[in-house]
Amino acid sequence: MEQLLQSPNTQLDWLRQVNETLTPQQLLWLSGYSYGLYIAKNDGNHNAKFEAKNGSHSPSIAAPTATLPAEFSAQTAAQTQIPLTILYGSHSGNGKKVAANAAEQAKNRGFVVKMHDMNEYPLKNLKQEKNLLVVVSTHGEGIPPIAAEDLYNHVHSPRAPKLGETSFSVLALGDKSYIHYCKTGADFDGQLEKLGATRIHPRVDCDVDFEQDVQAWIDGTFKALLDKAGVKPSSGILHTNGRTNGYANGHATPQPSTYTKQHPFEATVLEKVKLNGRGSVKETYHLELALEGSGLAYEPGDALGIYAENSEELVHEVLNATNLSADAPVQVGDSTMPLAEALTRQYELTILTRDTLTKHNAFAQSGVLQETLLDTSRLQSYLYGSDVVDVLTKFPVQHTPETLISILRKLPPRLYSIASSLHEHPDEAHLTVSAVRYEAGGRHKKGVASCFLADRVALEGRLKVFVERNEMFKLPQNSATDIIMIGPGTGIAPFRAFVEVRANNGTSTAAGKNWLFFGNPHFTTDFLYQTELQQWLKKGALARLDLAFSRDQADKLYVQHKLLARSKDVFAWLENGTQFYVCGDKNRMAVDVEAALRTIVERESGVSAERAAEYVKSLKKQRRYLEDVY
Amino acid sequence: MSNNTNLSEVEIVKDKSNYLRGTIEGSLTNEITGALYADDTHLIKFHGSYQQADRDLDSERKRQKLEPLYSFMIRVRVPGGIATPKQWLVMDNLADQYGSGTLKLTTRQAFQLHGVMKRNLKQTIKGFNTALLDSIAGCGDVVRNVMSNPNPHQSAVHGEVYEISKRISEHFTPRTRAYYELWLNDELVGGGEPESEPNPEDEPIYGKTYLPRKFKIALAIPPHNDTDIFANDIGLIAIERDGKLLGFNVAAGGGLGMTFGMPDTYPRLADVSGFCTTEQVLDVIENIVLIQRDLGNRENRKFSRLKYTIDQMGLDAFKTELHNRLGYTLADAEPYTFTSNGDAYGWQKGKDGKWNLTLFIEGGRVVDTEQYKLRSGLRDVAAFLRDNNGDGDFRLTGNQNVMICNVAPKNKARVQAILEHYGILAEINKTGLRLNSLACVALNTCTLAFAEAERYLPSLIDKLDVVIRESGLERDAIVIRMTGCPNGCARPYLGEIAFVGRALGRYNLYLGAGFAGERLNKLYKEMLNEEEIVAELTPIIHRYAQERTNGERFGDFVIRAGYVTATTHGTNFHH
Repeated sequence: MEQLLQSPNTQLDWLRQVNETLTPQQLLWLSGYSYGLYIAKNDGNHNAKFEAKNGSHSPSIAAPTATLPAEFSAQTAAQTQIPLTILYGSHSGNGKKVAANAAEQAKNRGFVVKMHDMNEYPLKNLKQEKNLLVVVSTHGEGIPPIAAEDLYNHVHSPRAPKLGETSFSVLALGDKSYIHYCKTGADFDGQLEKLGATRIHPRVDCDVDFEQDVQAWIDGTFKALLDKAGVKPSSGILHTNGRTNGYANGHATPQPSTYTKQHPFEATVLEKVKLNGRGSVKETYHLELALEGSGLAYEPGDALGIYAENSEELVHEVLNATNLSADAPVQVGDSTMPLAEALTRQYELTILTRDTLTKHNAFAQSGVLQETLLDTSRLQSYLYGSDVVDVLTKFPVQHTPETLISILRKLPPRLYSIASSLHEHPDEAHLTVSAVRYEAGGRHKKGVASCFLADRVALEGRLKVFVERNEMFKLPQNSATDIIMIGPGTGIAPFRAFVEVRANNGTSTAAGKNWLFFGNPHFTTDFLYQTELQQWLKKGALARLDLAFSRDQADKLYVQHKLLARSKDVFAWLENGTQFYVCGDKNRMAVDVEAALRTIVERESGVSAERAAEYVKSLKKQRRYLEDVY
Repeated sequence: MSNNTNLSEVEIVKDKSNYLRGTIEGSLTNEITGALYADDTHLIKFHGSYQQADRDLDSERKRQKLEPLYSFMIRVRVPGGIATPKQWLVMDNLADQYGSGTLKLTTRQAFQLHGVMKRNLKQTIKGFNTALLDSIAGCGDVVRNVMSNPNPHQSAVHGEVYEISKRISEHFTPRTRAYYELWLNDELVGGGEPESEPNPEDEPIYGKTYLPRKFKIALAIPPHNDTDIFANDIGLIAIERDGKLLGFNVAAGGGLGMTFGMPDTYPRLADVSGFCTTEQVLDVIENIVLIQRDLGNRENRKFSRLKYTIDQMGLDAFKTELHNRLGYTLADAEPYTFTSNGDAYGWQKGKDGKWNLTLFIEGGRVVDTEQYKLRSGLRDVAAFLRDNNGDGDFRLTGNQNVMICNVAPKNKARVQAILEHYGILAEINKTGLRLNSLACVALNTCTLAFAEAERYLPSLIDKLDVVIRESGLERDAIVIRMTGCPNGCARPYLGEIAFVGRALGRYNLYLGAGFAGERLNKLYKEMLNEEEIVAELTPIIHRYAQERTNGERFGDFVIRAGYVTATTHGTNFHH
């Protein structure tokens, strides 16, 4: 390259400087633009050659003087050098995706963007921030995700800086099925204001179906920031249409599929088999779905989103409780459909949220319900195990079809950790699904997606699916790193994918070792993927396999007990740089496993309980302790 | 022997097993599978257990990515078949706790538990131990459970014969401590190092490779041959005179197993080879066992039984070898008569005034069903007897039945009432055909079975009973037997009518064995399904009812009528 330039040093430096300010899209555009200029300066021979070689050329080449892309016209905003810091704190990786999306759009509009994982953000920088966007999720019972913990504590501590110079806005990620919906976001929002910062755009709380709300927040926030800086939102302001698709496909996917969360692919069911042997109380299904022709790609650790349907019985129960006709037309988004269809495909019926309860009570005006809504612990126990039918029956209201759907939450797709690797099963995605069935309030309740898959999806049937990346649950970059996987029950799913991939690394000493802990009630009936695990052990793809079958002996035995029994080795592996993964039940298993790990550290290194807790916490912060729990 | 490079795989496994230990301990602690390491599946037999799998579920579980549903059968030795009420209750309880909820009474007077998971093997065997029972040498290449006529009322010498059977059993019990170490957490005794090899003198009879094949011994007291002594490697026929036991006629070389498609394999009855006194009997048996240990075939297990060893060398040469080893000659055999190999059902009063009851147990399976609570009934009887100073005992017969013996007169009515309550006594009113039926376990747990047996024979008899009843033969005993494979567990070649499984729903039909177990049967038709079985047997049964001479047995009739020719020796079984 240097030989091609007339004054190599000056031009090259200049090019390098320009390059640093360009986004990949801008670079791509520039390459086409430059080539068009080149063609225009020369005769057509080169062009002919070029075509002969490549068969086609891009439209931008044919029209080099076409309108500049919005990225460039928006550069005018960059003259004002508006700084913008985006901090994200999340557990699942959604926060990171949202932040990355916002950052990219912000760059396109000329902001000078810095994006940080809260985990890695230098707290002392906070007071210098001029414009701050916070993207944060909420964990379990309203606590911040571990990555957000330090910042969260910092802003709530006496050492928190005065933020009189800071403008901010918060995007809170959450799940309405939890009572402390978006609490961490709300806490940040309130606390930043207390510290003197200016809320430049109202906080937006997002449920699991967050794409539209996120875009609205981005647009609103950017407009407010540009207004504040006195930059006119020229026609150059780009709405990166279609970028929202990125949530489903992710930037790392080599060839983005046209199928997304908004436009799911219809996958054919190739295999469906109950993994539990006869006599088991468990009901776990292994599903194999064909992705052929979809262009959908995923990595171990990613999830598959499934659009489920409510059962006919449940829809009937809702209709009976409300005395509404199945055929009554209702407006859902842009389309009109019969109420029964809307209830089947569009609205959440199996999970009751505070939001739905509140909206319902606006009609019902029940004092009892109002009291419940005000008492968090009562509300929690009421919501647990109750569904929409329970409320409609217990607090009857003469709903119209419209008011009924107005109180309901949209039915979000359900995510399942993919249990296969594309390497081992090209064009397929496998799932491990446990049918959720229980009795509550005198009625038989079923998990919407799990029982949809268990009861109503047959071989050769079709399922609407999309790939949901999970950046927070990936194999180590270095294939020589050892891994410990804790995956009882359906928690084994991503680890089947992990081992499938790592089995191909060979069993040479250079390949990292794989150690799996699995548990379930009974050895005989509930040893999921037993024959595959046996083969992996035989081949060395699994270095170790420890099992905890809780009901096969007098005392219950769980994975954490097995971990403790292997204390010495587990600690040695950790000290050796092992990456530690947990997948499965969040409320008990994941908590017990973490406690067991603290005990192991305390026992094996002889440090205090506090130091052991710090050790485990630091594993999490270093992303060597990763969880995919639910 | 050690120079022989053609030894069968099992011989090599035995040789390196360190007296039956092998890697069983490692097999048991391996949590990944319900199975044992391959070598240990041979060795576990010597500890009384077979690894099996529920074959009904094999293909289903394969699709479910689950390994076969492995479980273990454990055979508990009951020398002479006598168990106390307490022992019965312990077995009954273990069947629930660790087994499939049933007890199988075998054709060789043993208990079998089925469906025991690997992880429960130790607890189960410890359970036997609490009742002074064990499964040592329940299976494997050793002298198996020694059978003896269980019926105390039948002869004054019964007690003596039983004591001798126990002595034989003890004499041939393996001496290795492996059983105690593995199952009863018994440390090596005598301060021995775990690594050091036990002294070969620990197995003075067997040596480290034990016998080439299983070795069966049975004793009978004429005229009853309910232990089917001719089917055994050694059969001992008690000879009494004036109520005194003189000694035994010794028969050698019996064994029923054969392999389809290998005419060199055949069932064979033991040859009566002479008489020995009660003082000589252990010595005689030991030397026959040693001949088999030294000369038996260790290359091909299909030809390893004593019967082939004898036919290979010739009966006379075998006798000479025995006499040489003994240093004396057996006397000529004494005359004896057997009249039946079946059981006599119902109450009978013994010479001591106590009562003995023989009960029919179809297929030897002690199980509760919706309609018939056999297991509960026997459990209640056992509990009642235990609570009455341990009065009475349970005796397993060689025909998969049970006797409740030595019941004091004052307790008889109560036992009767319990059994009536459960409808158990009414079983005795079944046809003579059914009451003389035997079936092996076969599907779903036996790995060798080609076809059903225990699960199917009752319903086949339902159909044959129609013919029996219309022929007026309800009260006539006819010995009918079924096995799922040709290996002979239910002694099919001694059935007057016998079915040996060839494929699912297909059986070879054999006819013409002697009613007292003194003559093998002969193949009549091959590969019959149920319809064909009934069609073939119907006219034969009809003719038997019409044409039999006074007291003529079915097995004799079919030969006289020309359906089959008599088998006079194992070597002409296939002709």
